[in-house]
Amino acid sequence: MAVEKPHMNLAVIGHIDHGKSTTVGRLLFETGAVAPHIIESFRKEAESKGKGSFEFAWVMDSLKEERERGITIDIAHKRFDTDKFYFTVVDCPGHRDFVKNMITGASQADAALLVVAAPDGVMEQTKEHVFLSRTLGINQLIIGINKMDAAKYDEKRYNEVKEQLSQLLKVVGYKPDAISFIPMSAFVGDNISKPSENTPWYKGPTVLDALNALTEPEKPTNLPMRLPIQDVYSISGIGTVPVGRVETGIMKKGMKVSFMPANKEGEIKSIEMHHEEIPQALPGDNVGFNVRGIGKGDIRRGDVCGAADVPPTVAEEFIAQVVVLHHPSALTVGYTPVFHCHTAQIACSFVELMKKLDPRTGQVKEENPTFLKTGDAAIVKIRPTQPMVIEKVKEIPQLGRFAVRDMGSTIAAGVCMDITPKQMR
Amino acid sequence: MGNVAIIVKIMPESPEVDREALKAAVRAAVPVDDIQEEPIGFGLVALKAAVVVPDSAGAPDEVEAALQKIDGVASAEIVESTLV
Repeated sequence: MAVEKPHMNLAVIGHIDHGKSTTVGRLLFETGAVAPHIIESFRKEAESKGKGSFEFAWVMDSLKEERERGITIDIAHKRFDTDKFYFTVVDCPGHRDFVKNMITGASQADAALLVVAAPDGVMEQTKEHVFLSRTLGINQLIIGINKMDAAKYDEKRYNEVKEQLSQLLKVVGYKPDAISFIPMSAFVGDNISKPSENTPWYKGPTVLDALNALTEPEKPTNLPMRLPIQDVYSISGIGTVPVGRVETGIMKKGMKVSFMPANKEGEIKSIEMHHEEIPQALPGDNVGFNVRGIGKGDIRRGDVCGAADVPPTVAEEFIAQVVVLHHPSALTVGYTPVFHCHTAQIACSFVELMKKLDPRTGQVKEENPTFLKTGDAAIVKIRPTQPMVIEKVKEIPQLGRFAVRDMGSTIAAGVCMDITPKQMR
Repeated sequence: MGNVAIIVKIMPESPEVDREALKAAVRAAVPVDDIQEEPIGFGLVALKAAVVVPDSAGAPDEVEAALQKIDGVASAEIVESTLV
């Protein structure tokens, strides 16, 4: 068997109705990832009607019908292969209430394909998703300016939308010059796998070219070991067994570890994954581990297990960059919603609104604003009401992101820029 | 507005929890399309359930809350979500 290609998680993002699902369907089709029985039944139907021409809409309908018969866990992972990588695609939900799961969930996207409809240009969810991609630490971005067929393949319209997007991208710190803006039509198939005759003025890569040009992400094995605890068990005959996913670094048998904010130390006696004992666990591994020197009551969900010599950071206060996704009125100093960060859920207060940022230029628009409202990006100071582990996003990105929730809805998302650590020893 | 397939990881309270009974309770609590076992270690087995919900306010919370209420469940957490 051939060596498996490197794997990439691809998030497809963009405003509702800008053609994300059609783009995913098109990518699956063009890369030969649509199930053979669907293609076969299409071929038969086309033959019986005496036409051999390809109707992409038919494939989309068939895929939809298949999904309506029931989703399996494997089908939820849509997969396609390019020359260089195999991709699993996440077609991102539009509603902000899914944001928490994108921040704390299992499969962090390695790259994002932002789909923007040429006739509409930048819309609300386009902005929201660009901010979120940055927050989620997605550094590789490809832009598909979609529905070019509906914009008469007009180069002028392409350039207008490209300019709008460039402004937006600069705000959050992406470099537009290093990003491909591909005029495409997922529905017609322009510039997906081969250059389209409809856009003779465009000389850049196709979507598949751009996907092949992505850089394989490195596993964060060089960072300090961090495992946020999901659940803690006391197993008869074994002892205390915390369970969780290694986010960074390597957990090894025999390693001295520190649990924060519980402030307890222990030693890893054994690690198991898929019911087999393993000598070490790597980022992404879901493991249970038996730890000497720790009782079940000493630690709990939301605590973080880290290397004893570089223990997880407990924040007295931290400075964060946030984007307000939705607040019914205005967010002011003293507001204390729940922060969801790795497996922790802790009420935290906004103690200072330091700077409001201009969404067009990224420059400071206002020092010490009195309030923030929906759509604002800002630098703020946060104080957790209980001890909480968070890391600077520049040092350990996986533990530096959070979603802010209140009364069952998602208010904001952000990253931790700086920390005033709490002295634990 | 589309639908979202979410994958929820459900951890039992102990290795002794009856998995078949737990699966039945999960199916009774939310409209499950698929359910699979993921062995962790030390006898612990997580369940992964695929559930389709509308892409709208509150939908993911409702699923997590319904599953967390089940007897024998230690935690239920959405690990993946994608539009279908």
